[in-house]
Amino acid sequence: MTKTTYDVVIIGSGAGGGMAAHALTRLGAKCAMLDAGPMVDLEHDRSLVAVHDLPYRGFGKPGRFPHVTQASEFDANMWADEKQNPYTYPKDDPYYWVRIRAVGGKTLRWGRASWRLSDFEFRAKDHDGFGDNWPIRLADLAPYYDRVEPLFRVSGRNEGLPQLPDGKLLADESRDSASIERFAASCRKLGIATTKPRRATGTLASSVNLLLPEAIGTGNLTLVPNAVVREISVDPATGLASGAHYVDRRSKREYHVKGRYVVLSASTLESTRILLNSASRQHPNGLGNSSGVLGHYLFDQFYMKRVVTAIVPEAKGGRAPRNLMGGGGYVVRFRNVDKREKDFIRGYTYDFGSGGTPPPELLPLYGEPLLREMENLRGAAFSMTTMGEVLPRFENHVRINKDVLDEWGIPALHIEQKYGDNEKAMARDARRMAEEMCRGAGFEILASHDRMVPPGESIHELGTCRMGSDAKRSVLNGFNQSHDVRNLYVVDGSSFVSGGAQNPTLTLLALSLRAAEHLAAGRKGTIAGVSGK
Amino acid sequence: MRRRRVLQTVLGLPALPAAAAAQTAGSSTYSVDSLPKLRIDAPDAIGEGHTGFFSAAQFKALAALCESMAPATAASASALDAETPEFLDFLISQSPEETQSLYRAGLDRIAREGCTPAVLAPLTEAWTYSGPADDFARFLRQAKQDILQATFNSRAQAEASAKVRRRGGGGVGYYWRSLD
Repeated sequence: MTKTTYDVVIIGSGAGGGMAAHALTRLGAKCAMLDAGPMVDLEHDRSLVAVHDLPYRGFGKPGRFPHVTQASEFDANMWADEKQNPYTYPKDDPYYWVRIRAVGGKTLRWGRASWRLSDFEFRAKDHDGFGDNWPIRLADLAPYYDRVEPLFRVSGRNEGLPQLPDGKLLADESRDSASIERFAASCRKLGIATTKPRRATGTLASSVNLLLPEAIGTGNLTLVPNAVVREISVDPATGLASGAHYVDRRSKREYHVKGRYVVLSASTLESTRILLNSASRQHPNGLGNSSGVLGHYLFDQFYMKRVVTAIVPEAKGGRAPRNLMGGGGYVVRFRNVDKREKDFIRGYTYDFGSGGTPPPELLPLYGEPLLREMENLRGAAFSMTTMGEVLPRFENHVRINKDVLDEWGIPALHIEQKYGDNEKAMARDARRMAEEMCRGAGFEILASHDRMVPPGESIHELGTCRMGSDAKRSVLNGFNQSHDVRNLYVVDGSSFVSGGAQNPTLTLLALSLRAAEHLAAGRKGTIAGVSGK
Repeated sequence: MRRRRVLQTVLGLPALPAAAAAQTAGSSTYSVDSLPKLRIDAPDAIGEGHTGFFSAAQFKALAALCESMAPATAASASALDAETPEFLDFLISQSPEETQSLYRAGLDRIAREGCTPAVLAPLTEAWTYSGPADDFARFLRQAKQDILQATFNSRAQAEASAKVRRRGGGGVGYYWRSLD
């Protein structure tokens, strides 16, 4: 039997792949979606368990996840296993690659924060001369943000600030607790804006409930879990993509699926790995890599978790009046917006939250006095986490390490990323400012630090297959379409040129939607007729 | 009618509502789709865990350290009630070698010098994120953390919290089965 040639083969079922499938199937394209992981049944694959019934009392099996600090004993089975899916890094510069391989990808677990990028990011080079501008501006992406936010039911409060563009939001008009009001007032005194959290709402906000059901409902999507893509195939006559070679995750049987277009969205680093592993006679350095920049300009966002842990003094001893504690918010970027900083370019933001008990390790006590103090501070904590922009630099890169193969015999990635002086200067400033904001609110600072988590740990890895208007210095054009291979689109975080400090998922959803509609428009003409910016 | 019953049995469908079936048959049999949820318990609910990773002297020192770190309070179980020393003997036996040596050396010192306030003094120094340079101080810091977590997340702690009608211990979460 001759198998169907699909209009589009979509690789990956997370935010980028799910969004592309949602858009393309509505526009009548017959799509096959491959995901490397299993199908997840949220009703049957998880159940409520008390921590004391777990064999490791919540510690988890020691050493199982050396690079996934997010993994707990509860959700250990959800994260990609590093032995099956190995990667390498320089001995002294560990990279924390955090992956979920299952239908829905990381949208099963994301933090849901949904901020737009602004022209401070899209036109970053215009502001400070560093790096490159995106080939698009906010105005190009805004109509797509406008459609993605309602789809993901993003709630929040518009502030009318150029560095944090307004969105189509479910208005969050909830009243802030008194501690949050005090903190916001302290920030205002410093000329710094705060806002409500902005995040996708609902009990689940994933590709598996918001994107894939409708796509399958059109009758145009064939969803295939357990299909580990080895490489994208190329028509030797035209040099265009012709489909994908994949391996059955369980049996390891090899297959090929044919497609007129390929949309790649396997996650930032997996997409680049697939392209690098898809080298051929026409594309000797990896598919779509005539520029040589594929794999380069890896960046993410540095996090400083609990940069400050403070105590709201009036809440000690369980004496907090009603509405003193609880809730949280976001400090809007304030550095290098109106004036230039001496020590660093770009900026950072914070999440903050009121309530909870400070972690016992911060208290210089033990035994009964410690337990008494924890009781005294129960519910009285205020903490902040910094998210900082990381500069995209050529030398931070990934490449194929042919000596290491994954369980399916596919060459693994070698990942090199280091934070530089700009990030370090920003981290020091972020600590100092966080302390100042807390002190201004009358909070007592219990502990603070300026230690960034290792590269990768924020799970906001970006770049390595970047967009650009110059085909010699970028892999994709302004529509996420390969400069070299016109029927190939890459629609995940790998396409970012810079990332600001905003959580990237909303932007990659908007990019994917825009790319999918561009593809659909091009499908009506000839491939050669499709041109990006 | 009889034919229908046979088919239902083959297909695993209940011939009668489960309770009625149990009554008529005079026994508690349930069909596949009406199985009651069976109450189960974890291995550590009924048996004593084997120990033996630490030497007798080290284990004694660990027990003393547990007693100092997490005594019982009105709302919480003690580390000893929570069988934290036995649990940590198991956990450390499966931990990376670096952790094992840190623990062994630390416990040896407590065995030698006693679990006294003077020996535990590094725990009263102000917290730093970089951590102390001294191995023994690093051991104390990690042991404090491990002992508290193992005790808070124990069955004994859940029972102690229930007694004072307070949510406590490590609580409840969604456990993910392994995905095939």
